[in-house]
Amino acid sequence: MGKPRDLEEVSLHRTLQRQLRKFGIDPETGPPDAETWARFLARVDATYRSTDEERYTAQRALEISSREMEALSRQIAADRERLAQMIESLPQAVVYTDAELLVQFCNAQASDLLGEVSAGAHLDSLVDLLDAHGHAIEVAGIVGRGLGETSGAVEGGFGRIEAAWQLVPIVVDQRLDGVLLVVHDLREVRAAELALHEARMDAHVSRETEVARGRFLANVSHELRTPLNAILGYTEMLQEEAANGEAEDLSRILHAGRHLLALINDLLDLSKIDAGKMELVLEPVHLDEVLSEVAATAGPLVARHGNVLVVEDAVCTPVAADAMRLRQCLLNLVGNAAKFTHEGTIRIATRERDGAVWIDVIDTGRGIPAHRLAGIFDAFEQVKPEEHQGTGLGLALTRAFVQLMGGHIQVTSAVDVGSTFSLVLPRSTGGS
Amino acid sequence: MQVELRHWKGSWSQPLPDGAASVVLVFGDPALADDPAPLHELREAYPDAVHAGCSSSGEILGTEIHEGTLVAAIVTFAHVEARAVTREIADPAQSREIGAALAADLSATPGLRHVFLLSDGLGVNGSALAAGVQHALPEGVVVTGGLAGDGARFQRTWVFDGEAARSGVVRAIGLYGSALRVGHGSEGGWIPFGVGRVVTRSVGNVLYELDGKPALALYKEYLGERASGLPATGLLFPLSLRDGTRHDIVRTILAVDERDQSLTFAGDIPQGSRVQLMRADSEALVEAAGSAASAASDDAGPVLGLAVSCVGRRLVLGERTEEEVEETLDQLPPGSWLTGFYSYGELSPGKEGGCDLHNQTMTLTTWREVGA
Repeated sequence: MGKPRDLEEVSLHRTLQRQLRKFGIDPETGPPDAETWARFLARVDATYRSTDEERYTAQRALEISSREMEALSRQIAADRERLAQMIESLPQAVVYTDAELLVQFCNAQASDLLGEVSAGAHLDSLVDLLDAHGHAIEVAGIVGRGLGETSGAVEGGFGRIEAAWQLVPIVVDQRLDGVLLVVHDLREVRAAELALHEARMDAHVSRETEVARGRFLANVSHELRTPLNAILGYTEMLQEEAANGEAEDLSRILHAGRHLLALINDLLDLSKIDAGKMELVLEPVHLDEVLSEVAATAGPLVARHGNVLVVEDAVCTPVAADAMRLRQCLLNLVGNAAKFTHEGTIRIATRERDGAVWIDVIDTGRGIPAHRLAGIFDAFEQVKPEEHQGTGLGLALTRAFVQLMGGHIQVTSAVDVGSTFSLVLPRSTGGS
Repeated sequence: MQVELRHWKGSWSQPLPDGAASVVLVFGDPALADDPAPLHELREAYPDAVHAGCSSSGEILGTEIHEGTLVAAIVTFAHVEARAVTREIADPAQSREIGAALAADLSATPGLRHVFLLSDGLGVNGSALAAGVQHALPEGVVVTGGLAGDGARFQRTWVFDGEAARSGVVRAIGLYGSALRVGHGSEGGWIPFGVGRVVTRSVGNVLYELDGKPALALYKEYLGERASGLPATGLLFPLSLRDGTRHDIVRTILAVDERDQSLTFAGDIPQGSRVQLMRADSEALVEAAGSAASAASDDAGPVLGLAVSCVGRRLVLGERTEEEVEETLDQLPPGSWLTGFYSYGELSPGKEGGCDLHNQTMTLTTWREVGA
């Protein structure tokens, strides 16, 4: 071949071709002189050296980058697992699609609610399920708008399940990455709403019943009291004029009538308390006065069964109380003690404890069995009603009055040893 | 269009050609600011020409690269008109406004086809300058150019406006007339690799943290035993930046600060943007230079190629730098001329069309004049 070969045809490395051309070297015939050869070699050597350098850089970059990628990959896997668990734990059905609206994943609730949702299914097929009223839901339109959320509610979709749904476009780097479909099963919400509604209705009915009962009691008591007072008045008149034989019978009528009146008065009080209409006048009350009055009034009753009443010196601290109602409470307690104690002692003692004043009515009577103690303050509750007279309302009223005065009542008792009823009342802060 | 290239190394290697010239472009030693004798010679030789030039990080003349010299392209157009305007820029924050003012001056004369910008390389925000110029120009006017260099020193650059070579100046040449054909191409050859990272702390062009970790530490890890050569070796790993509003752009390291573990780049690194390390090998860079030249040329006849290549490429290519210039000239039509400079930033239309600041690229502008 007479002419130099075209360098392109020789298929030498592109860099080498360039270097040969630069130094005017024909690959067939070699360099024209030693100096050109030396300069050419220096250039080729520099190329090899720079390639070494570049290899070091490339290998190091690859090594570190691989390490970073691996760490990142682990982190992504952990993040994905966390996210999956969070999504599984949600009460809503969640379906996520890619930008082409093909399902990527869904949680168990989605399968429960929407039926089998297969990966790769088109969102349109799920949205059809949501469309209970035959209105086309324009998924493309929703997604096209980009950033907005779309939501709605369906009655009777999903095999007659009431549900609310949201379509949320997920945007990453200003591009649609996918769409999140969230479906809220409204069955439990509706059930809870229904239960709440029913509970409210029940409460309404119950309150109305209470009010009606209170009104009835008040009316009946009033209607009973008027004729009863007439009966008692005429009986007392007849008793004054009666002969010996008749006086005893009239006395029985009078006794029964008074008992009935007391019962009616107690019932009236109770119904007032239930209706929230019992008004007490709270004022500083000195116990020594109240206790002497109680002792004077209850004296005959206590003496009837051979009992002794002991009233200890009262504490000086006044209590905040309605004096009349407090007297009524103490008479109830002392009366009860007198009924269930024979040849014993009934003692009234006072003390201060925990910032309150305690008034104890202590008897040495037969005591109350433990199983009866719990209900003893309920209305019409008596230990042995067949044996004893009384309205059965005394302790219920006593408790109600004490509570209205800001205090409470408690009882301790031992069978055949005796009982102690304690009224605990707040100290008066009003002075005097 | 007639083109004569001349080289000054203490004296002119060939006599300056006689006759009038339209445009005289010069690229040269940063030290010429202190002794601009050859610049004045050119001005006296071609008093009616439009003069423009800047300091370089390496002068390109044909397939050779020089330092400490001056290269000159003396261009005579038959039909194309040339004008030039200069603005001083005291504060980088004025860059956009200055760009707009330059563009307004040039477009006041009808028939503007092309603007070639040469800017101070240190005291200017190149991105803002490019945006300002492009914004104020009529559609279709191609803007290219570059930011002056100062070797690998980053201390002082100059721009020549026909009177003086000084810092803090932007010079814009406007070429007018339908006889002008302008081509442009800009390629890097860098490829992003590895994990994407989020800029978690930065101020302007100073980067402190990527993904909450010191950015300098990351670079040191990647550089290994080359870390001692920072900041120059940082050029091995430029950053590909995506700030959500534009195409990916390349950012080059200019400086490092050990005290606060920061890196200073040749352009803004907005907080919150996503970045990725990039790498390249010599072959990729050389091939990219060829691609830029191909893109800038239409093979319809010889052109004047004005090469603006990033100083970072020179640092990576080392002794093989001339290969990219050779490859560039190889891809231009036969009989073409090539001159230019290694720069601190390249200006040319980006992927979206408007002029943008590039880093780590070979950016080529070609001029050709056709019959009127």
